[in-house]
Amino acid sequence: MPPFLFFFFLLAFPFTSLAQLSSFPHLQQNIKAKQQNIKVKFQTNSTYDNHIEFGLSIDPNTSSLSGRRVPQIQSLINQARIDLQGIFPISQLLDVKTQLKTQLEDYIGRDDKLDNFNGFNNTFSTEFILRLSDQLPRLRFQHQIQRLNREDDVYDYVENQIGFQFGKVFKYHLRFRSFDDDQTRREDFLLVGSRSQLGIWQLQFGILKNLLGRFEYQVEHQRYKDNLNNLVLGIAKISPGNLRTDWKHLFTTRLIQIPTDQIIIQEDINFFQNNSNTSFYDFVSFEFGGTGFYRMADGHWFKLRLSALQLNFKNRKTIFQSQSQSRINQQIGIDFLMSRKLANKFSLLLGYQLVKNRINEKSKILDFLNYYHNIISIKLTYD
Amino acid sequence: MNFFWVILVGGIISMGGCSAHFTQNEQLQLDLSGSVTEAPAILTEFDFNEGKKNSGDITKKPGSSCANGVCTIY
Repeated sequence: MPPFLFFFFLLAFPFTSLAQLSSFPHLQQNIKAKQQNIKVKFQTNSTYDNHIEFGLSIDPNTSSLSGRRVPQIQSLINQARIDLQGIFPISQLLDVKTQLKTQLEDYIGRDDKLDNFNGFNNTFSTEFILRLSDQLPRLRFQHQIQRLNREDDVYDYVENQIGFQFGKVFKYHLRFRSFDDDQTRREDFLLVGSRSQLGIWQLQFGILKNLLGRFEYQVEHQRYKDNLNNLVLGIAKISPGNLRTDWKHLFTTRLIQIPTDQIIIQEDINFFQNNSNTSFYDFVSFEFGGTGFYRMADGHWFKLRLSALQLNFKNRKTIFQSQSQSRINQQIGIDFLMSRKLANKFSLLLGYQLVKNRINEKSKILDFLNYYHNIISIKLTYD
Repeated sequence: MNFFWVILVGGIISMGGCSAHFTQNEQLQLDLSGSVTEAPAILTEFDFNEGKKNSGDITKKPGSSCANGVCTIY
């Protein structure tokens, strides 16, 4: 869709929504009783990232970064976003919420290497919200469509998602991601179409007066298409006609202490497991984190999180060490966030994130997996 | 065997004085004796920011997806 057409729809959205409602006077009366609500939010975000091209444990056989003297690519990512949100009461029990988000993304990297990532990211969602009783959480039925359009067509896709949610107790979604070009053979599973189903359960425990516990379980089933090049298919040991299918399980336990009405301290333990039908993608991770949150005033707070993580790939063997040894990544991380309300409608969010990654490989060619990842971000919101 | 566990867990919950209710922020909460029944306002602000993180799921962290220009081999 041409950008000008998109912005036309964006601007027309609140008016067309109201125009449709004007034909139904009874509906309008109900709406006045519950008050319809239309919000516009503007956001700009600038992020410095010194590690833009790759994340954790890229396989050395497929990475163009292996063996390079300076494998990290520094970048500045600028994003501008408009959110339009409307809540339209249909009856005393049912509301409809529509949301349109459009985001412009601009990547600045050395030698214009990252220009291919420049583009638009647009999302439109419709949600039916049903409140059966004041004592029960709301039931939500949702459809969402997302379009990513970058300068390099290889990244362009449409993602459709349907789902439902019962408060924060249970959530389910089914998601289809389709790339515009699903015939050309790709170099990575993240560049081929996929179908995913996700279920999340959460239970909260009131332990003491100022102590809460939370337990969360997520399970996701994901299936990828097979338009991959022979190198990736060979490494993954996927035979012709077979598809990669993953089962992901995430168990999270959190302990939340609220000593005063300004301070929260949280400890969390996370266990993540990926079971794939191709053993190359089997891995587990353990993460321990501690978070401190201090709230000074409305919209004025800061948060610090320290974490440690170990990632084990049981079927990826180290190169020069004992062949029985599996590849292990170890990370420690610091995450700092500070929010400040600048004026009535303006707020500022500053963030700094540092991740140190170490791998149990001695090979020079894999030295790029020992790195420091720095992210600094500044976000300005008009709400 | 499963029936035994249901009885055991159910027994512990009922004898421990547990009750369950939905909180204002739509959580299902199991209350132990003397525990907090309603979450303080600060928790809502904390949760709002926490919800955007993906702690635990390494495949969704910054720097590990093509969305940020990164293609990893997860």
